[in-house]
Amino acid sequence: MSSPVDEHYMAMLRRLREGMPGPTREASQRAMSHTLRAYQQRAPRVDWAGFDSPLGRIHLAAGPEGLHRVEFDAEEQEFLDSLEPRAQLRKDGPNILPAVRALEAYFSSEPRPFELAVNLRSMTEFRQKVLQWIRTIPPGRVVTYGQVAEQIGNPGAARAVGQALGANPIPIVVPCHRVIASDGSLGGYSGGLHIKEYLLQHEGAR
Amino acid sequence: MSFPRFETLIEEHHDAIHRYIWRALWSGGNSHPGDDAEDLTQEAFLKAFDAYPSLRSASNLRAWLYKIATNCLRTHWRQSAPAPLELEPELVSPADADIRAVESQSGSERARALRRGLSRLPEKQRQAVILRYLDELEYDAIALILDCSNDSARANVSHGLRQLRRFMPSASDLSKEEPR
Repeated sequence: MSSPVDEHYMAMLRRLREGMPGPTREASQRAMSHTLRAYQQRAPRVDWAGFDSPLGRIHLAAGPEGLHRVEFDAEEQEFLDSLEPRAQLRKDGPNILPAVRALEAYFSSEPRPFELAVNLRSMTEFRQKVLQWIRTIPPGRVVTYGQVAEQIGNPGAARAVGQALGANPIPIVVPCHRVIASDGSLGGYSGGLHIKEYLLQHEGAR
Repeated sequence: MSFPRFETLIEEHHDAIHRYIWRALWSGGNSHPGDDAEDLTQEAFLKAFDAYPSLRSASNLRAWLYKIATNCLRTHWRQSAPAPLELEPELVSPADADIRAVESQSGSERARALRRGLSRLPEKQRQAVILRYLDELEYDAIALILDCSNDSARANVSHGLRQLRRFMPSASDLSKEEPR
């Protein structure tokens, strides 16, 4: 859409560009490492890992404050894209190794309660309360949505409890699979009911 | 469209933003912009880091970074005294390894004429010309970066070029063969 006059000036500037100096390759590289260093000082650190389980590939992510993600069945890149975009990622970093070991042990032997730090701060206060409480349900036991609502002091909030469990970013470790419907049916599970079924059987609850 | 990792943003756009800032400083009259360009580029990326979570769309990240860089340049110019243009007879000292233009004498003369011309333009026109012809951005992106309409971006480029031509008599020699 350039006019002939514009074209004319453009030709003039293209010629002048040849005389336009710029930073050298070395200066650009130096500047970039300068910026990368400053970024690394600011960026939150997220350690992540992936391992194969009887339920397929599981990916995990943790920061210095604890585990904050467990994801079933995701492609590695899809999982990485879903993590906080400003974070500096470290594969198999020290913050994630305890969680990998604990989950591998969970699948390979008799399930025991997880003693892992979890970070649920991205959740609302109500949801944090629900998810923290269900961590006290031991393997092999199940409770109903209504019972959870009562236990956290909100009787009648069974539906909101269900939504909180559906938003659980740390399944298995925060055992939302141990919450079922009052008629004894499984209720829901974000990862798919077959996973809930498997986990409850593995824990001897069904 | 999902947001790329911030580290990827640095890796993909740092060179372009650094070069843009370097040339903007140089065109604004700073004949040795190396250190300032490095600092301002870092500042621009750290501002982008802070603003990244509140960014609504990932559709034009390049223009968004240019816009932040342009704001950093404006603040820099507001805070620093105008460069003493007429007191600098030489574009560069031969020892300045950061500048390529010294390689050929004619290139150096051209560069000096260009810098002198560009530095006399109003800031917005100068930025518009650099963005259009040195960074080769589209007018929509320039409008976003300079916070103006597409028409105003075009007008700034065209006025800037007209002025530049007036300030640079050698430019008309260069354009002799161009069709009118």
